[in-house]
Amino acid sequence: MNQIILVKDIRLMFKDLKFQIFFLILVVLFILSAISSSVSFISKQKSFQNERNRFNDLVADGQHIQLIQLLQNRMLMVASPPSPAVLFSEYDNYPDIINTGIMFYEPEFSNNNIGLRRMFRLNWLFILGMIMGLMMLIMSFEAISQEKRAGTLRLLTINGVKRQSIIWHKYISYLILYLIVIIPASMTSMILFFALTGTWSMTFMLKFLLIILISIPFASFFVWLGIFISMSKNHRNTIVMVMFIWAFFVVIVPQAAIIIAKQVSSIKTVIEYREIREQARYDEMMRQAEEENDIMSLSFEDFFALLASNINVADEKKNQALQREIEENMRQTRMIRGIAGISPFMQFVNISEIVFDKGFYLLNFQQETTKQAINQIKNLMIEQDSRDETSHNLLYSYAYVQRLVFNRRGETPFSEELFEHPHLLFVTEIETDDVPSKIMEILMKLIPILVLNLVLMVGAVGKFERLDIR
Amino acid sequence: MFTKLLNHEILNLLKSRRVYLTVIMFLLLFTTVFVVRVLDYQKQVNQYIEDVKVNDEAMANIENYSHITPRAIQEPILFSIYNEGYRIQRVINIKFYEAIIETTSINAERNMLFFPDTELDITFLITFFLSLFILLISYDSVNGEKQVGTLRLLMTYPLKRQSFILKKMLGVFIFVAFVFTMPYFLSIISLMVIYANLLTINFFISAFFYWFLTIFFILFFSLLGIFLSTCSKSPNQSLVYAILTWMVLCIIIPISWDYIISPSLSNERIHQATQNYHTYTTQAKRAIEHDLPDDANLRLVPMGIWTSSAGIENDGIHEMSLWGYDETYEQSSRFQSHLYENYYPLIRASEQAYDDVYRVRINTENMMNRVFFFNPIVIFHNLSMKIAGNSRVDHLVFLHTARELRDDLVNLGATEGWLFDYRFYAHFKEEYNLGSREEMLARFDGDRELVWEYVNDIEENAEMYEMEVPVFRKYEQPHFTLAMMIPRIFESMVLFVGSIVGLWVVIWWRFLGYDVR
Repeated sequence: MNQIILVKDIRLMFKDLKFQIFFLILVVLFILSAISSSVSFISKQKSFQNERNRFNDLVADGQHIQLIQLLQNRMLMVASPPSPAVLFSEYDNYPDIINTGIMFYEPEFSNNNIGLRRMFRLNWLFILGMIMGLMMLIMSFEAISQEKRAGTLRLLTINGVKRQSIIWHKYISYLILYLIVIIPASMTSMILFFALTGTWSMTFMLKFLLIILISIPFASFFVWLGIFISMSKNHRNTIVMVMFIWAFFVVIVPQAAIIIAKQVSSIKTVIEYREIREQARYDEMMRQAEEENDIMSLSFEDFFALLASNINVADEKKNQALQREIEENMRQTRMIRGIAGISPFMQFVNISEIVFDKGFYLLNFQQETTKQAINQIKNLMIEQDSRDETSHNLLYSYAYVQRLVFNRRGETPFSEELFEHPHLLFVTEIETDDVPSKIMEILMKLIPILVLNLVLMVGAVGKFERLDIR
Repeated sequence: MFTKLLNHEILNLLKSRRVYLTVIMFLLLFTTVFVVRVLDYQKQVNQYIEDVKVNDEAMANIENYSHITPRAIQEPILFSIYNEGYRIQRVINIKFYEAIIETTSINAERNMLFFPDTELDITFLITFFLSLFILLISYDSVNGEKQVGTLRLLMTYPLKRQSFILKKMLGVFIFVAFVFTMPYFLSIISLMVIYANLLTINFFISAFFYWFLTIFFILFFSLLGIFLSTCSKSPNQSLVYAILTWMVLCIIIPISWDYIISPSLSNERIHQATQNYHTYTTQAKRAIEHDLPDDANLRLVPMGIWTSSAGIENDGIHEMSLWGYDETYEQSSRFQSHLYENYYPLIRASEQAYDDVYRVRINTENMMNRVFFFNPIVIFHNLSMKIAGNSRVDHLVFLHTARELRDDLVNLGATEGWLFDYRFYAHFKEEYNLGSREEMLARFDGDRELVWEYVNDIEENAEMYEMEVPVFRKYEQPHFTLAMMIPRIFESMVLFVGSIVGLWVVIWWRFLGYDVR
């Protein structure tokens, strides 16, 4: 009996016009997203390659002036190369490149993708996160009310089918429907994307499969919500409710989170931060100037070495101020994510970041990698410097001192030799967590949505038990 | 009979719980978005005031001509509360020889780790929610009556089919137009009270045209809803059609244009334009780095007595301010004329090349309007930016104005002469001129340390040079006039009206042959 109900449910849904239209839309969207993502992936790859070449040219241009510029400007670049994850989302809310000076971790974050300001994107995140929620809601918003209207619900209970099993069959059939819609369309999209870009990668195939698996609890949340709504008396009124709930989760919560978090956890203006940084540096310089009285007795070289090391220390003070600034930015970002996390859609985004090593999740590792790279380069430079007779302490005399020495003596304090390991100045391999700890983290992040599912399920089943089915 | 039916229709709408819910939600959303946008605008105004203060302070503390870096600061547009448009940053630093291709900000709060993009404004509310709400109100207007049987009854009366469909349409239209107009005018009045001193004629022109456009938008969607309800027999089916149409118009068409059609149309040209820009910039860089003639190279003259470096590496910003040796100052004068003759034209050419990027984007946007003439959401989006005055075109105009100001400044320097002579860097009075290097060394018997001490002495004790700040043009925000507005929106407006008339004709024709049984 149970099986018959289930099969009948599914077959009925297949015949439904809503389902057919949505299926068509989804297939089209999946294919379009594969095309657009592959276009964006290829252009990203091209610009990444250009950036890399530009960097290599600059490094290989064997002039000491260039090396000084490397030291002076922020020329250590940490960027993860474009990955097929663009098919899922571009994550362009977060920086994808960190530029920094070689002496200190003084990052400058940049993002290549800013420009197109649209709430809706054409990728899997949009389909699986936004459209799928709407689709599941619209499919299920008259699950019960339809049967009630047609009188079949009454008939079913007369035949001895338990109320619980009716609602469970409804639920399971919607989930099966979800998989039937999603799997063929998404697989087509994925294969099309790999074929167009020529990046067949087993890891990413598994990741895409995983993300579809993860999307099931989210779809189930919307199914429960739809079933819950369908028990209200006037089912056509509920459609307004449905649309509002969807828009609330997908549009209003993420947008409002930004606005609220900016008011609650506000940061200082760019100018104020700059003043704080420079003040920290200036204070340190002044303190040092007061301490040292016998500058006049020093030789020219010693004087500059002292000056350079002082600048070094002062820069470190400035850097500490910058670290606090980054902390404040981090705090605000966490708050935005925390508030937006009310929406299951944003939870889905957060989990996908872990799966694809992107966005906010990657940012922490990028910072770690940058700091490590700086230390490595610093050590290598000290080593190189100690072997080089003509260099006047390359490590210390950078930037500021370079100018002074240049101006006052008309000669360069630097060795003509290039830094031996220019390839280290461009970092693309950023290691993130290992697989088990990632899985643990994903499971932790799945808990809220599972709890929501449970609550809605208990609510829906309880309500259905007491529902007047006449 | 007709007015009776119309009254009945509107009363009927008011009684329906669905309409009730919809209206309450719309009003709630409108209020929320409006309040949020006003708060945001207030923040922008505060920033603007701070920016102007910073700029005035900087201009008041000018010590020599090389310090003149006026800023073009755009006042936040009051109407941007309703339509955010493109602009985020509103400041342009005008420096002597620098290319002006983008805007910056001074006092902005910027989270460096998160680049939030909010699109939540009244325009979004209208294109996204209002369109959906109209469809949800009107999807069963004809076939709903048919299902209940009242349609058949009505047709037995001596009533023309045309007037029936007209009153249906008018019923929905008047109702929704009222629901929109009320909070809209209330919000306009509240803005007039809050920002009485920021009001310009721009605001009223924009507000009127925006309202006018929204009325057309509502008209289109009420027609569309009625059309959909004549397309299928049962309301349930037309509901699906309505949501589907809405999804296609509101989401699928815009995103597939943005992510598929637009890149394939414009990417190549944008790439070409960027390439041209890079070519000119590289040439310009060569002009001050490699092709610098020896008699204009600042590195070749003794620079020991300048307070800071010549800073060629630093984007051509020159901070030298102390009096130097005669040779140095002659060299720097030649350097300046070299920049004026060789570097500056290249910079301007690079700006022209970069403008092509903007032009390509503007053209693609206009093309989208023409291709999707049947989609009011696309047209509304584009038109509202033109009406509010924060479209890409306005951004380009802003850049052009800033460039004109810079050109004026540079030309002023060239005609008045200070750009090429000692005054450009002068920091101390002319009497502290060091003379030639040889003379100076001879005066102190070739002892460099003594020269150094002498210069330090000047630096600490000498009187400052007092410059007369040249009279240069300051940035003024352009104002709309009615004559400017109409050509901007004429084409899209014609497309819009055309599509409404077309839809009306289709409904007319369809309902004449509609089976009312």
